[in-house]
Amino acid sequence: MKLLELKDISKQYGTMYANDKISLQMEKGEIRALLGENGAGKTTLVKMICGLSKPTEGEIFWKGKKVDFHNPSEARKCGISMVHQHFMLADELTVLENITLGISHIGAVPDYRKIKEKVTRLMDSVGLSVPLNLKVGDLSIGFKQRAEIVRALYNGTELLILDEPTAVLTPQEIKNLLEVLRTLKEQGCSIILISHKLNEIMEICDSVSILRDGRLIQTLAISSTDTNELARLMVGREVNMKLEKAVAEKGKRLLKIENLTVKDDFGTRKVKKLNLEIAEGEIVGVAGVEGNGQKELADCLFGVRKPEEGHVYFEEEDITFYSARQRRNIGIGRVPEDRQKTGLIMGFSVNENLNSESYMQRPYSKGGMLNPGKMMEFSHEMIKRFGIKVMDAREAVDALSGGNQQKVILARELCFSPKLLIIVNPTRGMDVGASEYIYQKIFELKKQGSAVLLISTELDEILTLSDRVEVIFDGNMIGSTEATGDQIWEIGRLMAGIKPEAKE
Amino acid sequence: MIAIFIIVAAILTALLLGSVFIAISGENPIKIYIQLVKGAYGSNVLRGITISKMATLLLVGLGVGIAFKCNLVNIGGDGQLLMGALGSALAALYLDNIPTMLHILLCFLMGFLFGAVWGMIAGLLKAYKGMSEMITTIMLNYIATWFVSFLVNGVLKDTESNYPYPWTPEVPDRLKLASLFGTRVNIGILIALAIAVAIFWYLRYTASGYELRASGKNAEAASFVGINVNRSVVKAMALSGGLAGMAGTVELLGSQFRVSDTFANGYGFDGVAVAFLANSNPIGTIFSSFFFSSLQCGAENVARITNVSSSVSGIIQGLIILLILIGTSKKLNRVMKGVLERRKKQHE
Amino acid sequence: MSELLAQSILSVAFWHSAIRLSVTTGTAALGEVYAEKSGTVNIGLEGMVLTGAFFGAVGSYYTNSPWGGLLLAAVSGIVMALIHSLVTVFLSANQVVAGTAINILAAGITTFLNGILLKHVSNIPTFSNFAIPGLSRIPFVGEIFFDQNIFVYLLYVMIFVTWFLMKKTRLGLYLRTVGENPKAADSQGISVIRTKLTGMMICGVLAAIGGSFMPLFQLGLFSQNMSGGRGFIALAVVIVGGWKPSLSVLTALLFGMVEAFTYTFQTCYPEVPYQMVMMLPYIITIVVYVFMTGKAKAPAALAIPYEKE
Repeated sequence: MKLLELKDISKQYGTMYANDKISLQMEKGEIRALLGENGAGKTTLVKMICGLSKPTEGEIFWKGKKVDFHNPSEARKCGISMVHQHFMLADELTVLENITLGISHIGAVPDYRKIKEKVTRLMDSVGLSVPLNLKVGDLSIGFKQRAEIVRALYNGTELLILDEPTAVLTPQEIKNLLEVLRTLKEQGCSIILISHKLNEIMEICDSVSILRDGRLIQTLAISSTDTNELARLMVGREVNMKLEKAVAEKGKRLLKIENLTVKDDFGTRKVKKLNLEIAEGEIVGVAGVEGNGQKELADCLFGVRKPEEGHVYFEEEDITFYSARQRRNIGIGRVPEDRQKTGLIMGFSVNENLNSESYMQRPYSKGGMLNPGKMMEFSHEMIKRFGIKVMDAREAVDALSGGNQQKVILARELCFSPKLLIIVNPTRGMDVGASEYIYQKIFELKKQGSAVLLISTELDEILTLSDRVEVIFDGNMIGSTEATGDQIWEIGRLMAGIKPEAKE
Repeated sequence: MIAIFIIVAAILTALLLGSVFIAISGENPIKIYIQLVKGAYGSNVLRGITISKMATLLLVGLGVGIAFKCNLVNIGGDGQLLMGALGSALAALYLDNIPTMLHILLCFLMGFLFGAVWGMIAGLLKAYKGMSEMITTIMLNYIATWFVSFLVNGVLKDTESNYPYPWTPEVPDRLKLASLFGTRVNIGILIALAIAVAIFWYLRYTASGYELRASGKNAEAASFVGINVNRSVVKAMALSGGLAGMAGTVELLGSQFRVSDTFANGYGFDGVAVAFLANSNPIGTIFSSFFFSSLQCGAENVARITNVSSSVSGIIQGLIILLILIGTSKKLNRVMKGVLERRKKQHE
Repeated sequence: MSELLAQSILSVAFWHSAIRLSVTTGTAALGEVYAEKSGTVNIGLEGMVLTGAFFGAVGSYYTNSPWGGLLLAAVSGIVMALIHSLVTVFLSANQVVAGTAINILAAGITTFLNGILLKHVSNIPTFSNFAIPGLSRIPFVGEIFFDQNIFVYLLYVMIFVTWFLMKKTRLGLYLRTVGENPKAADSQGISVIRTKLTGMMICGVLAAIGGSFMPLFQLGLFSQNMSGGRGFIALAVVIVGGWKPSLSVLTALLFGMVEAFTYTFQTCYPEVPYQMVMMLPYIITIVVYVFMTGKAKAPAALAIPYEKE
């Protein structure tokens, strides 16, 4: 009898299938890796296993019996628990209280002493230790994760699901975590591990299931595969470069980033003494698995996050502490990752969004008075030039498709012919046509002699556009390659944190 | 379009529910509603009272609305209005030998300034200390009330009239807002309407208004394109308070003529209802302030001649807001859509 | 000066009046602690206090017993909390606007029904003082704190109950989690809606009981808008009290003391305007609030409507 069996599980969001007819089986005591690129559908799949969402179609069998979980506590009662990528902890509560949240049967007045005893025993048996009486908010990320794991294990868990557990950990913490997982396995616990990092998977897992575009590609025993094969299966294909790369002469150095260190909102250093240079007429792609410091690097270059140390030079001028508006005025175009949160002012019209940077300049405003006629004229011109599909420029930007929303941002940023464009995941969630359009616009800019810094998690995109690929790992540029299709395996290895000198 | 439909539906439903209360009082709801309209507009005097009240509500509502536009909730209208009235009273009572028109203008200016300072305190605390503007504006309401109470019991107290209640001397007759062409409606309403148009223009056609709205819609994206969100917050609260302060001027020079510590009379909270009903649109605020002042003045008149208490206007006002909240709930909208889709599927 | 002292903090009567003046605020503030801990800011607190005052009077008059009043007040608090929750918890609407609507509605309904249900009623059955045997004999302190009425004793008990419930029970754990990180609660299978609803209902009951103190002990009758802003002050009191039950009630007592003090002050120094003293608690509130910011004590998800993904 299999421990867990999924039969033709599908999950549909609107018209899109996040998971498409996935079937897989797991044995007791097995450590299974789920491998796939961003957006391959890994998290969607495990959320259904642990009761956080329900499959649109298909059946789940647990120990041979069909199960239909309505919420996570039902799954937990069967012995399935999950440790989320974004911790599901309340910061103001103590570790012990957070653990208690995950206990299925507690009375109206939980007996914290008893719970504490059991937790202590549990921690001893798997080799974990967390200070139970501290507030979670005062813990480091590593300890927070341990608290999550302890909570997940408390109810006699037989299947533990971990979503990208090592993405946020230091090497030492990763080592400890893998040790804990091994102990759990010895105790008969099964584990599903979602990860990008091939070497970790090779080190600890028994088998690996590879997902791509919501489909299960293959399940392999670790003993019968190697990192190269896994990387190939994950990416899936020879890179399809539909577009001819634009040719432009490389000019003088435009942007220079020197020893840049940036903290995230929680005070953790996410960019660590990073160095990077870009020349005119060059497109540099920064590849990497999400969460390796891309967001903080981009925010810092956008002028909305102050660095802890280091410098940024633009045309040899120190712009480290320039404001967002100053950056635009010296010729830096900025397209952020999250269209709806930072890119556009949702609720504003297309017209208002197209003008959200130019409104301060003549002829769109004069002495603080806007010139609606000129603004509208400008919007119509942009709508035409960028082929934005909108009935009326006064329509709310919310009503536009993702591709058209992105065009609005591009129009806003490209209209002043920036000398440097910083662009993050420009085609996420877009169809092929919209993507190709955006690529062309980027090439056009390059032909004008401008530079582009492309930060993306999509390898296809990076290879299609870039002249040079820099791979970011753990807040630093771990290595750089040429942007040709045959480099994809090398890039994949770099993204997984395998340094070039350790290649052999 | 949908928004207007929801507002109309909410008003009608609230009136329908209100008629239940009227029926409880043993009166015929239809007759009462007719009487209510008569009560608001049945005579020259009544029209004067209703429209004067509308002017005050309109200015307070515009203020609350501009704060809403910047994603702020200003429930300190009472305090700002009172401070504005105080500023105007100081100008009216202590300045002399100034041409009348200029003097009235100065009263408005002082009203605006006093109200703006009172609102700006909450704005500064919000922008630079992250303090909830709701709590600070409520506290500032009480501080303003006691401060004015202190003044009207002391240095500003009217010693000439024998009225036992502490209030300031009456403003000079020449400063009282003139009536419009033989009606009892004073020119306060024209000023308020002009300001409504000005605010509409400000929000729509100035860079500063654009920044204010952008900060309210999406502070993160606004700061991304280089807008100083904190400055917008302070500006919005100052303007909001200033408008409430000018409402105090209109109320002082047009209706009450003297400042007392009960001068504000809950206008600040009515202002929230007015602005909310208008979805913070300055032009819409004209209509909502008209509606609420008619409702309140009409109800007061109804109470004088029937068994129905004037508080029925408050009930209807509260119900309208709740019903609009329900009607515009995105969650409800989504749930309903889901239900409809499932039905459709089942039919197929 | 010595006269002022003798008539204020050294006098039992002063303390009795201070406590009386803080019972409504304190009880309502305890209620607000439940609402805010579970992530709902209840601006409608003022309205709930007023509703409780009115229905307390109605219940007492019609059942001819203050107990009937207390019960009806509690029920009315639940009803108001349900209306608030319908809009804010179930439909995730703007909590501040909903609260303002509750306040306007409560003022309207109580005034309206007052003219019908309590017409010509000049007094209603009230609770009387009940000195706790033994404890009330302790000189001064005992007289102050244990020669009181049921509302004050209830408040003492509720401070402890609230602390215990928040810190030691499952419900408290769930309330705090939902107010901090509703997603975390959801991920562990805890119903966010049910928890928030519970918090709001307790808030409604306590606010209403606090309100009913005024007609059922303090004054013996209901008058229009008799809550007089005590609900609003309770909102501030919770913040200054750092969302802690005991500190919140102590802050409420501070407000009551200043109010009582100004009355004493007035009798001792009729020539000095007392209004400047009355401003003090509000100014102090803002100042304390300024110093409290950045310490991030407010429930993290306060006033943020939660919607499941």
